[in-house]
Amino acid sequence: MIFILREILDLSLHGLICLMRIQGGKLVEVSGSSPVDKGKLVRLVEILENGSARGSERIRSLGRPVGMSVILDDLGVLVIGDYVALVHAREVNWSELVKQMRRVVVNG
Amino acid sequence: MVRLRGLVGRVKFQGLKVISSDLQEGEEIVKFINQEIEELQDAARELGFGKLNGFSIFGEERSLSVMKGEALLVDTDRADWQQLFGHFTYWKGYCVLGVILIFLASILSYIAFFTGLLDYFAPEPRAYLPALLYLIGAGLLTVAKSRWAYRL
Repeated sequence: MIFILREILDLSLHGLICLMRIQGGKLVEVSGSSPVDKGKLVRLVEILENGSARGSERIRSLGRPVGMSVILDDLGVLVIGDYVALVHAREVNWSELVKQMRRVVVNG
Repeated sequence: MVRLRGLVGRVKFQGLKVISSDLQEGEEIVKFINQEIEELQDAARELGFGKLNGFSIFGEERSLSVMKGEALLVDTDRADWQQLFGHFTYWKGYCVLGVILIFLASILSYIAFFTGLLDYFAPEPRAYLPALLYLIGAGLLTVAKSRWAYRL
C-alpha cells in the first residue's frame, strides 16, 4: 500500500517535499524528509486535525470533516485523514494534490 | 474578479466584523475563522515561520477557504483548488501595450499587403516593421503574465 502511495505521489506531483503518516501521535515519513522539526510539527498537525473537526461541527454545510490545509510562508501543509503532506506552495498543483490525497485516503 | 468554479458564497470580514456576506452563516463563520487564525499564527510562530498566508478546511460536501479578509465557501468536488489558492497577476501596462502593438502590426500588415499605399517599397521590407511589432507585442504579453501570487 505504501509503495503504491509513493508511486502515485512521487511520480506525478511536482513540488511535493515530504509525505508523512500519523501513527500513535507521531509523524512517520512515507517519502521525502521533513524540512521542519517533526516534534514541533505535530502540534500544527493536531491544530489542523482539530480545526477540520471543529469546522464541520460549527459550520453545518461543510458536511463530514475531510481535512485541512495551511500555507505558512511558502510551505504548504495538507492534512487529510492520517496523512500529512508538505509541499512547495507555489510549485505544486493544488487541485491534483487534493484529489490524489483524497483518493489515497479513501483507498488506504 | 474571475469567476471561481464551484463557488457557493463569500464572506468579507475585518477582525470580528462582517463587512459583507451572502451566506446565512456569515457571522458564525467569521467567529470560527478568527479562533483558527489565532491558533495557527501561534503555531506558525513557534515553528519559526513568518507569515500565515491562508488556510482552508475541507468538508465532505463544502469547503471553506480563508484568505486576506475574505472567506470563500466552495463545493468540495467541483472546486478548482489551483485557481482558488493562487493566481497569476498581470502587469496591466505590459498587457495593454502588447495588445496595442499587435493591433498596430495587424493594421500595418493589412495596409502593406492588401492596399496599394506602400507599393513604393519592395514586398519584403513591407513585412519588416509589422513582424517586429508582432514579436515585441507577443513578448510583452508573455512577460505580463509572470507573477504568481497567493490568493489565500
